[in-house]
Amino acid sequence: MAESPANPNGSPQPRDPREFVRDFTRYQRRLFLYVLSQVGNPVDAEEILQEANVVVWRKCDQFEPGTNFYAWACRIAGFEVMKFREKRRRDKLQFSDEFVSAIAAEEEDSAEHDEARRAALAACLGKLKSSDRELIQQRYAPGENGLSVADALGRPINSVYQSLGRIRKALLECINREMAAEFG
Amino acid sequence: MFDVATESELRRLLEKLCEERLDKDGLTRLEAIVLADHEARRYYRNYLQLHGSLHWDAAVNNASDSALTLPRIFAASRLEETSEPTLPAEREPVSPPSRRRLWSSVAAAAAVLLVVGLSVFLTRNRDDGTVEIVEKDPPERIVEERPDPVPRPPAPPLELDIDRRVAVDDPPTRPDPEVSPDAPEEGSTDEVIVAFIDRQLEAGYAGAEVEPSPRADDAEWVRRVYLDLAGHIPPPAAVEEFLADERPHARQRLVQKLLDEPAYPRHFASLWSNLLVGRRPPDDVDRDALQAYLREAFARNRPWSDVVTEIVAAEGAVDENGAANFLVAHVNAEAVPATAITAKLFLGVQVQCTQCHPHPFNDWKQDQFWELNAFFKQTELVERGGRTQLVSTNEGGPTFYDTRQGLKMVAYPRFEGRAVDPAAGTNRRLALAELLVEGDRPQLADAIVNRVWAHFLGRGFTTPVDDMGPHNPPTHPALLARLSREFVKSGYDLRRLVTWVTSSSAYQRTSRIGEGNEVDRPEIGEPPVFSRVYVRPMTPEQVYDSLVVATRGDAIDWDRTLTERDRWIQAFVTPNETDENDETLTLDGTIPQALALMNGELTSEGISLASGTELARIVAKRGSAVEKIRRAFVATLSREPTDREIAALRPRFRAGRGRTAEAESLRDLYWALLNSSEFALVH
Repeated sequence: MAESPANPNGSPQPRDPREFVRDFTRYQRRLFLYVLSQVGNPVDAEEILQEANVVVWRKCDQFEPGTNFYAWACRIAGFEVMKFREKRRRDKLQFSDEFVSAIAAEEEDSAEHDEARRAALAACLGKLKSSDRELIQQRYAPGENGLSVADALGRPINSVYQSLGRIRKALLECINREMAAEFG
Repeated sequence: MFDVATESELRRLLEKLCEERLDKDGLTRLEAIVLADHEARRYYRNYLQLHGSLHWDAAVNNASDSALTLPRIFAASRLEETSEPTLPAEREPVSPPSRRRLWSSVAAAAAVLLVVGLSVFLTRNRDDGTVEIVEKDPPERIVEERPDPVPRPPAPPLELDIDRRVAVDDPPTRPDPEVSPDAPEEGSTDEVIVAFIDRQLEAGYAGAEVEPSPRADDAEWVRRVYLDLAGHIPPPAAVEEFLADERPHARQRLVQKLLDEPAYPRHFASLWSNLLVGRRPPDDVDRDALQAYLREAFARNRPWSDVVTEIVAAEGAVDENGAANFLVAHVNAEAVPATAITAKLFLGVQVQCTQCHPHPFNDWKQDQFWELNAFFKQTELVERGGRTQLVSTNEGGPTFYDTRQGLKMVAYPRFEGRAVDPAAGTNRRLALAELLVEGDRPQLADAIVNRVWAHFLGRGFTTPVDDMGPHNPPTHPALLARLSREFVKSGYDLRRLVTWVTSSSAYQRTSRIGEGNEVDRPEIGEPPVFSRVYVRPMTPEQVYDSLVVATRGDAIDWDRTLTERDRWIQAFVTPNETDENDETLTLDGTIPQALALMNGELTSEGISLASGTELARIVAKRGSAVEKIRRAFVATLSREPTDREIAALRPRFRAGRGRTAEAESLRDLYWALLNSSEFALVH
């Protein structure tokens, strides 16, 4: 068991745990998106993020304050993605290794407009027809998916898939317009 | 190049990814598009970011107030990131499944850390590199290496209708999904069933916001119905006769007439022979005997349940019992191919891979594969008098197989939860045949309904048509359910099933896409809504038979033609020699096929001006050049030429160039028409 001296490593700065917690909280969402882009499924991405969080937490003393928390956490999350993929290799359809590494490489340094895109999404949701907004809200309620929504509404699954695709397309185009207006 | 078409393809793939409907091919395609281009990667990223954001924000925030609208949720979550981190646990008193798991572990850790506040600091244990968070006073470990195990979220409560079907120990019954309230029990006349098809499809058009294509003109329709039922284009006389028929119900009457003609059993026997034993089966298979058996079965409209029973339970010599050839072809390799192909053809379920491991998407487990396989345990081939015989031994007991972990397992004959006495006295294949047709909606009925539907409309309720299951739900579950039950009620009457499908409004529509249904494009992965009939390439058999009709006219010796045809096609077939007993066909509407047609004997004989060909007859007929052009179009494309086509062709047929020049021009025209893609497609 380690002793508990005030500054065991003699590291130059005392580490402020509040700083760590702040970074930790702030980047949850971005890490989620980082993982999602490599596995494609939000529920899997949550599970991986959960595992990564445990590791981030355990290794928090290895983080150098003042360096890039997000990049550091991404490496941990990337490792968890690998572990997850290995575990599921046999029983789940998944992206190829080549694809995942290409996406991961690009993802880490392309997160700059995330916040703006998110704000744009909020605006665009407001512009949807109310029936469309309700549908997308139902679809993304926890534990739901296109199939369960179709079941609940008694609509043919096929038409629900089509509506969801159409609404997502509209949102994507709206976000791109908002972004173009803001950033030129 | 990331052009508009690629973008739209990628978007459709992503839509599927988001609803977990992407299959292996789709995934491969998605990867290829995304990796090929920077723009495509950006599109992928943005799409998933949208998907992820909707998931994340809705999941986090729905917790506290399910009435919140998403924009307000966003406002709330933006706040969270700019202000001091608050304890998520406070913000989220009750939370539903998945996000709760994540947050509660974060919350637990964060809460501990913040409550303890500054008296906590981080130390490194130099010995093993693990980290502990230690409180100074009293020195007590307060955070475990791993937060409390959080219970897994309950499995989502959704269930597919196909899941429910697998009733254990009872005959399979399944509730029909989406039973429309306006159609309780209204009888089972053809009219009622056809009206039900139309209503179900119309509901689908409304849901998909699609305006269906209009009714096809008679020329388009007559060609299609001939190709679908007779397996070849209509002879010119039949086209003229149908176009001249102005009485009501001409289309329904033509369907009934075609069902009575020998071409229908010939065509369907040929299709099913290909499915059952392939185009180039092993030498001991008597493909002709199988074909003769099937032709008789379709000609007499024997119940499908009987046909399947006879095939599955067949015994005897390959030439005496044609039905035996299916198992003769597939009983090799411990009947593994027989198991997989039986499931695929008769049940519409793909279980090949469950031989070794659980199916990644559908419900089949490895034991189910071997339980089905155990029904074929008594099946053996013996040589008697120089020909192969399919026999059943009296063997009983278990079948052994290995799991991926190397465990030896045993399986006893069992199908859909119902076991059969494994003792020596049981005829297992007969028992299987009985189980296959049990109940008011066995999977056997779903599978054939789906296949027949796809045969006429160009797409099934599932794609592929033989990959049904909870992982691949049908596009029109209620319609499939009703048709399946009605088919069983009718006594597995294939002609009635064909009548229902061909009488539907959908089958009357043109294959052309209109402005209102541009999105109905299953060929790029969209689920079909059947707002039009989907175009498909002819099979090699249809190409051959159609060439024969177009070039030889009416007097055709079909028995000889079939023998010649199957020999011609075999040249394009390579058996794969895999455990699946499948084969590769290099004739698929592609360049080799086109070359074979353009330069092949078949075409050159067909367009010779020697007597006996349809072309020679057209050339010899009296009449203007335009009239001859018209006849050439009707004989090949089953339609009149358009004014533009005539205008474009006329200069080559100027009067006064002499009969020989005219004949040569007609021959060129004929050749071009036979090689057009309009000729080689079913539309």
